[in-house]
Amino acid sequence: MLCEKCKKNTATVCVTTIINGDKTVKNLCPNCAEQDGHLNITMPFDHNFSLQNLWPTIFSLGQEDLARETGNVCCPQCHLSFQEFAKGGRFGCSRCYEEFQSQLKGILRRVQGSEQHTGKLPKRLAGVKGIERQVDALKEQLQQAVAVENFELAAKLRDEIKSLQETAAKGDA
Amino acid sequence: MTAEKHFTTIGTKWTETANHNIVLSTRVRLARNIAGLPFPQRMTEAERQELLAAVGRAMQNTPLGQKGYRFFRGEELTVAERELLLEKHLISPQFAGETGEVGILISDDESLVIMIGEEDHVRIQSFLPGLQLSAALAGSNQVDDWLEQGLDWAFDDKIGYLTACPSNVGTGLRASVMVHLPALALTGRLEQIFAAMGKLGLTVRGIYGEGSESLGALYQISNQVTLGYREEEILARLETVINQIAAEEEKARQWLKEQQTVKLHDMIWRAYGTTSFARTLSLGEMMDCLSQLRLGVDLGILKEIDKEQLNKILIGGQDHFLTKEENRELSANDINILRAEFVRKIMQDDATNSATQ
Repeated sequence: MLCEKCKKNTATVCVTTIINGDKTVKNLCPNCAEQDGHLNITMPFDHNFSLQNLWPTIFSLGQEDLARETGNVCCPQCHLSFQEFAKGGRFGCSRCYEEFQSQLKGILRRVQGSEQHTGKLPKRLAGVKGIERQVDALKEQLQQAVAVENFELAAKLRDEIKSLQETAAKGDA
Repeated sequence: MTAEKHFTTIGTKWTETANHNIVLSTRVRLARNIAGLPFPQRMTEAERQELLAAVGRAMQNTPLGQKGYRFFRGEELTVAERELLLEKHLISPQFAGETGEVGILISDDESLVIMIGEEDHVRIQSFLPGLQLSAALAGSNQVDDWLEQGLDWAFDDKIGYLTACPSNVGTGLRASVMVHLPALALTGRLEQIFAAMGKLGLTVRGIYGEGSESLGALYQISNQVTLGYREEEILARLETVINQIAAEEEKARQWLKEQQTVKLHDMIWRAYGTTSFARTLSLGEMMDCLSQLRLGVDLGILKEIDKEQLNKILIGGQDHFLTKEENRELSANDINILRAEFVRKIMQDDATNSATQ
């Protein structure tokens, strides 16, 4: 589309003006928009631009070689290939997560920014896993306590960790 | 209470208390999959039947199988009935259009809706009016606890609950808040705020969810990241941002009220005129007017109508609610005439009510 004012350059900015409730929309080139003194230049918000539509790009980004090499590898359970996944952005079954583990790392880092779940646990795992998490948290506190030479607290934390680990061991048996 | 009410009653849980400004409603959904079964997109019809049977059995032995909840197989519902649920925002567009076998469980008050056979095997959703993230999470968590008594969820020690799309993996949690931001839209500040939200791991969409346009200054703000944070942390982060946006919207509203008084009043009363007298109304025009009316009520400018009426229009003025009793072929124009009639009637009711008070 050409700029509505100079009719020469390509219109790249959309200027919306509301005067007395009347809304006018003008498509202008950046030069004319600036000349008109539009400080409040707003581009139309593209509602269809969502992360979902970017999957293919995100998944293959920097992994072109990997995709070429492993593109034909299929999940033994649902027979989804990595190429199919990269195209649609959906796994076929929970087994895919194991099968495409090497590719997954990069994907999760980009999409989620993390590779470690810290939220809710299924009840069947909550006992053992829950204790593991508590122990990890206490160990961190212990390190800090030692760093600031708070040995009284460190001793207390060490005892707590020990008793938790004993409980976990009993739960396993 | 009959099952049909879900397809006839305009009101739903999230429109129940109408006294909310800016933040209209909260939805918290958890995605779960059954270990050993392929995800719905790669299921055979037989496997879909297996999925429905397994979830059905798991629900039987919990309160979900008791009074207060109603289960439907997809084939029991007409296309129009699914569209009505979509217009109430209770199911996703993808689920409404799913041709394979699906199941849906709805609580009588529509605060809980479980979609079975959408992108993931089970999607548990809790709906509440206003900003109630913790309460909605508690509702969905409770249902998750019930279901896992009878189902073995696909879960990985490291990356948590496994989902069809890696954008849901971990907590499987998507919390969405519906906000009404007319003043930020009018003052041209939305784009800037939305851009900032991306950096905070949040997304903004129009009111019908993914890939849909925004209508009537209504937006859905939700978390993008589902892994690496506890559920409560994800909600707390969302809530902080929502409160900030609401404060910005409030500021912009006060600015409009004080600095653009005539323009603001003019806009609101024009919307009042249009909805009271128009003979045809497109969905877009109705939604715009509705937004302006809501702003007028929020700011105390408009006392002739209340938000309960506005919520009635918001849902009842959608295509399938307008046409559900019409047994004839309808053009877009026919629907616009029906919409204008419906909206006029609600506006009229209200005018007479206030006149007699």
